[in-house]
Amino acid sequence: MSEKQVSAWALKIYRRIAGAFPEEFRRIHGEEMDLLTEDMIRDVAARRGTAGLIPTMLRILADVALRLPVEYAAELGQNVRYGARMLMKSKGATIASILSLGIGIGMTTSMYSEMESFLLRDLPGAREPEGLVRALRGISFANFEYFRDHSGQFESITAFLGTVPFVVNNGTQSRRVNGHLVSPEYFQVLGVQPAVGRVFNATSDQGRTVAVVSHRFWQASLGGAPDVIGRPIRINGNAVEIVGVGPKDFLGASPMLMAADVFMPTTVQQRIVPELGKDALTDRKLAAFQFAGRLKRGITAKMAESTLDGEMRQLEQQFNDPGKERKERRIELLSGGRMLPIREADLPVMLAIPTLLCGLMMWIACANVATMLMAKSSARMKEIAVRLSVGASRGRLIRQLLTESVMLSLLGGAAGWLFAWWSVRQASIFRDVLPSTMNFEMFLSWRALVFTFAISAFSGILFGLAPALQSTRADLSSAMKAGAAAQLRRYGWLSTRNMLILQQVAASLMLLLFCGFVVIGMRRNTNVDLGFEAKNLWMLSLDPVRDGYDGPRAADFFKKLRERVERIPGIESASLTQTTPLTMFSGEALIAENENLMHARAEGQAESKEQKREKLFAAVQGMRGERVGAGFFETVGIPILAGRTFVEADAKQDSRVIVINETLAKQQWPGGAAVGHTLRIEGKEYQVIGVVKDIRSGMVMDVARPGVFRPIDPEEYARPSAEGVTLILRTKPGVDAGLEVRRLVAGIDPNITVFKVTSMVEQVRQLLFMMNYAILVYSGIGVFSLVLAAAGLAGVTAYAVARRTKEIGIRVALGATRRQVMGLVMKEGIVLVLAGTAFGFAAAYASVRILATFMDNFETMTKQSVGDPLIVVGGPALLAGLTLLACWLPARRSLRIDPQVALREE
Amino acid sequence: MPKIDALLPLKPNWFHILLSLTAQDQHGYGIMQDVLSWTHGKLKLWPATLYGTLKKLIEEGLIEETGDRPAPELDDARRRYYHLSDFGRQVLEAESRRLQDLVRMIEDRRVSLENPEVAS
Repeated sequence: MSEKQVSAWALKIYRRIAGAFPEEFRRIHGEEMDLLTEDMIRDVAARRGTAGLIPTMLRILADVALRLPVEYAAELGQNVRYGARMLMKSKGATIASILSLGIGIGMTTSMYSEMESFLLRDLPGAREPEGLVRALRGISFANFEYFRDHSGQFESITAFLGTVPFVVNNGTQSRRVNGHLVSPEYFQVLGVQPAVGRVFNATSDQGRTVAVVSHRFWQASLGGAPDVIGRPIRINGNAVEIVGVGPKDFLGASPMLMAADVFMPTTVQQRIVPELGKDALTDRKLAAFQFAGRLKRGITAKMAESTLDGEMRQLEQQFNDPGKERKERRIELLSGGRMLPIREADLPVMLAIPTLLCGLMMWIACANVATMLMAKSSARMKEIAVRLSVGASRGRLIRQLLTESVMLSLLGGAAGWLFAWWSVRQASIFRDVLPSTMNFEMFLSWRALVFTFAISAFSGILFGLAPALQSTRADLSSAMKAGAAAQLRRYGWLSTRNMLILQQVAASLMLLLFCGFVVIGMRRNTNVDLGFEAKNLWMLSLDPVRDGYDGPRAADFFKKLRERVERIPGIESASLTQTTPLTMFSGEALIAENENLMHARAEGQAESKEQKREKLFAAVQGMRGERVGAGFFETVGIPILAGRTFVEADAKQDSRVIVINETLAKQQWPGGAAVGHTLRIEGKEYQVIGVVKDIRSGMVMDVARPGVFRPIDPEEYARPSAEGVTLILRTKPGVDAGLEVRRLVAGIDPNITVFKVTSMVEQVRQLLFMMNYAILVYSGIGVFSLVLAAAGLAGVTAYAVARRTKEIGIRVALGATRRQVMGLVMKEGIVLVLAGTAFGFAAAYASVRILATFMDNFETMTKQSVGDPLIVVGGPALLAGLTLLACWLPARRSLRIDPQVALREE
Repeated sequence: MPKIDALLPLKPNWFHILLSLTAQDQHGYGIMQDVLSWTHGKLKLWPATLYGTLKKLIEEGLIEETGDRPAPELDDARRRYYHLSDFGRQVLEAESRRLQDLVRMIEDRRVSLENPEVAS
């Protein structure tokens, strides 16, 4: 290649790259810069030849590459200063845009933070959390040991029992904390490194009474003392040695649902931890242990699930488990390395509702701002035309306009961040109403900040692009010619502006209807009959075993308590229960067979396999069992429908009488009397002595489940539940049950603590709190969508009126009536509102149907509200009415236009 | 127009460009050659840097584009000629005084380093 050719080639490359400079820079300095570069290249080529040209070219190109960002940054600085002036010029529109973007971005960021805190956050303290899996349902410890010794799917597995309450005395005070009972390899499986000391060791800890405490417990209750290792504390009245402190933020394998501050190995003695009593580690029917493991390389969760399920069925057959004929899967594996264990396949579905809501809110906010910008841009047509005519390129103007819209959206993002910060703080009030076993920690992370910034910038480009493209397509001559009137754009029916408005109305209606379905559905579910009278009903928890009593002493204590408490003036009746009505996790899951099935097996009755299977399936599906004392139903006020309820004589060892609820009675003995029939539960036969009305249990939205009540076995006092034993009292109005009972208990034994004193009314309020909070949030979103849609349309109509002043003046001068003028202004708005309403309606129904297919709770919540005329008719009518009113108010101004003034203006 | 002090100390590129315009108006290539010459090849103003700096100097009011051009046979229509403005001259003088003060300080210190007893 000759030097001339090389020079020409080098110049060609240079011109291509230098063409990237901003147009203004190119226009002023481009030619001279090219000339200078030409001279340099020729000079070097002549003096040093081709070899010398290469380093020079590289240097020139590097120079251009370094200078380009500087020039664009300078242009950006200009755009920002100019944009700030433009935004200040129309303060009202700017503030309205910032507010609507702020709410949209704020709610989106809050929702993201919620998702990050609960669904996406890794298990704190765990090594390689993506490798961990958890079983959905509990298994027995005996079955866990089988899997540990035989299953080839896992690198390592562990089992733990949670939540287990511990009464911990650090030498100065006692505190009731929640913890886990864990198999010795627990910490190794999770890959948790202690902050201080060590974790459990199966060999060296055998027979020793040891514990590991959480970091926060160490800080709060043990003073964060470095010498905590080896320090004895008392747990449930027994001396225990602390061997380690967990890492920061580690609260066990299930930190959100079963947060743990104390960990004890399953090798400790039964007397220390009542949960280990009654063959807890060997009883194959006690499926109370959670199971977690680390899969081997190459083994997927699905593969492991399939294998374990098969092994479980074999074990059930081998040990004649009563549920061995069940159809459902035994083992389902979830992701175990997150705050909330969920199936990977469920994650998209769980994210669907918040994503849909946030997407709609952002869309409405952006469409709102876009229509305002488009209306404003018509007022800047002259400015844009002038700039285009003096040489500004379209690209330059688009960058200017986009800079303004991104500035607006970043300001909206800042407002949104503040809103998100506030709403995350508000969400912390959940901590006070959720059970103490749950750990609800929501926070704004740096990822949320990046997310806010990204969504702000993206939305700025999204809503700014259409107006920028449209306004820079200015017809120069007409824009310069006849002044303001010529700036009027006649929007075609399918113009960008009209499509934006139509989408905004449709999205607003969709959001309004969606929220309406959810709110009305929730309200309906919160108004259901509880099944009993909640007023003047009190619940107090006691746990003598964890205060140091043994089983017989605890039984004696409760006997005395029961006898004396009813003598207190003002207390009408009292009873004991090991579970509490209307708590989130009341009762225990039980499997039962009814007598027809038992007899069919015993007598070899010719019942088909399918009939037998169906009866068994119907009996075992979702049955809950409770242990209650004499007088429970009378005290709580649950109506007795048939037979009788428990008396003191029934509360004996191995009592074989039960009371069932009406759902179970109708299910098992439809059309006939249930009293006198038999159910087999956990291998024992029980006679039904009474039927009571259904009461709500668990989440209020749940349908009533089949339920069975068994009398408290005095032996059960040795193994209290995590909530201890609950004393339920019906009092006269105005009686302070807590004070009276505390005095009474102190009189029997001052070392027994009465904890968790609450009224049933307060319990219901707490349970409904989350639902009521959700109703508030969804209602707010619905109102937000209404306000935005109305504000957007009002703004657009106002601008249209302002820009059509001359036209309206001419029409009035030519004899147009008030009606004709109003019709002229509102016609476009009416058509867009009606079209948007139709689309929004269809979209709302479609989205509810789709989500209901995937989420049972959502279907339960919305199945009645979906046909509610209040929503179906009222929602669209409200939106249409409000938006038309928003059009009408500025349109009224058009009637006050004086034709003479309008014509003179130009 | 910004105050003189706000622009000091001047960036080296700025200083040399202003300096090259003290004697006569110049175009970009001429400025580049002047600076290359009196810095003995140490400071080469590459095209993008040169014209980016010229743009900035115009914005700050230190230089201005001039309409005075040489004879057409010596000229190239693509060239633009730059002239040192009064403000630019004041800034250049202020920067020169600052640099001279620095040189004086260095000279004083060098004497002290070489002759500690003189310093004490």
